[in-house]
Amino acid sequence: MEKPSPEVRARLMAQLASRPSLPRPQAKRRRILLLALAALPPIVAVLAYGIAWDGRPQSLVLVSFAAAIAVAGAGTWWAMIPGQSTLGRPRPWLRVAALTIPAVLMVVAIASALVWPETQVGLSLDPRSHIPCFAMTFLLAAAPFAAMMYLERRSDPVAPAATGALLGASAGSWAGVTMTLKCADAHLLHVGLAHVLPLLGLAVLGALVGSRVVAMRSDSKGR
Amino acid sequence: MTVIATLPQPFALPPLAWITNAWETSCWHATSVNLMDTREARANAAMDRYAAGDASAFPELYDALAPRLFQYLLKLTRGDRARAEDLLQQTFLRMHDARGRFVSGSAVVPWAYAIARRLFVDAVRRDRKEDLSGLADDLVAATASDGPTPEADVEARRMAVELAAELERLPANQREAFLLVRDEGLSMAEAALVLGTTVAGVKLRASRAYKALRAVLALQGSGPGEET
Repeated sequence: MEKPSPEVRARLMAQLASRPSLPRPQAKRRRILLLALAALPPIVAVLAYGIAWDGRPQSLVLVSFAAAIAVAGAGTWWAMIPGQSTLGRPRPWLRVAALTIPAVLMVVAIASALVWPETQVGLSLDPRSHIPCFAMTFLLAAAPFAAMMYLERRSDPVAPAATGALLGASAGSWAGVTMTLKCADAHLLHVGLAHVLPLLGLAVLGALVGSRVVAMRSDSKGR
Repeated sequence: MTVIATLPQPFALPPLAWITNAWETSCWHATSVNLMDTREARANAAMDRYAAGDASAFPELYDALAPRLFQYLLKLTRGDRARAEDLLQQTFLRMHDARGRFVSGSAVVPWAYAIARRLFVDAVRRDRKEDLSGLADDLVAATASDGPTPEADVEARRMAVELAAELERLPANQREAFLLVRDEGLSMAEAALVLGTTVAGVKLRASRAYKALRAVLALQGSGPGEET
């Protein structure tokens, strides 16, 4: 069996000395801190502007809020906590999870519409009425999106695009948590266009960014 | 390395039996599996310690993993030693960078293989050339020394070239699954992790590869080589 030359080992040891990396306990602490910081903007938004009830049943707001939190938490956990293997979840599962997040939120919206039909009247057909929520979802997702991409940068040797897509959808669903408190329009068309569609957009954006940022790559300092 | 080591066996066994049984019945394989298990356990423990912050575990990790990874990289790079060494170095650097992400108690081998494979794919993309086709030379070189007679040697070479050519014709995902499972000795679950797919996906890819190779062996069996 051919073996690598001893110079490789010597070169590697010399490089490690000048290349700091965080061991697991510190890395874990930094991840928690950064994710907490990323959660600040939406929390501040809710605290500053309060909850927009606007005639919505309290139970509807609570159900939407709880569902959004559950979906966002599950998505983030699925994307960022690798489970039993350092390589994380298989690519097909990540893709399915990225698509499941908006799908579940839409299903919750449909179920809510059946339970509280009074929320389905008075829809504005003006497309401009959906734009603020659409834009706000992207805006509120920016901090978690950036934090997650930063924390997962150059980490995935197997499925970076799929991981990125799930991170994007998860970041969008965290924005959705705030939006359930801020947006009083529970009409299905509005929820679909202004709240769920941005999540698909963020998943696509996440896949694009992930394939560059999350992918594990070699560097010029290697040799 | 194991496929190469067991290649001469088809001449003593029917093709189908070789594909399905040679691996399991080989004493050499049984010994190598035990050695591999010990080495893997050592590597896992060393990586765990290194991830937890024990810098002295790295040399141990390198010594346990580097020879095996180097063989894999040599195959990928068609025996380009300098390139394989560069990729090996990059692989360990990436493992060092990402040590804080290593899951306690998980296996380091699939992770290391996945990183090495990713770096190789990146390098190939950068260089704009496909590179997984050096196997024919490896197979020829390996079988040449194993043939007991010149006739068997020629036959082994011919068979190796046929098999390697068929392996090259396989879709990349089937070829990679075959190499990882049969050649590198990874379990189906480990190969699935390296390739980012499910165990069922690896089984399907590997079984398609076996089927294609079996067809080649069946053709060989019905050819003039079998009649003599």
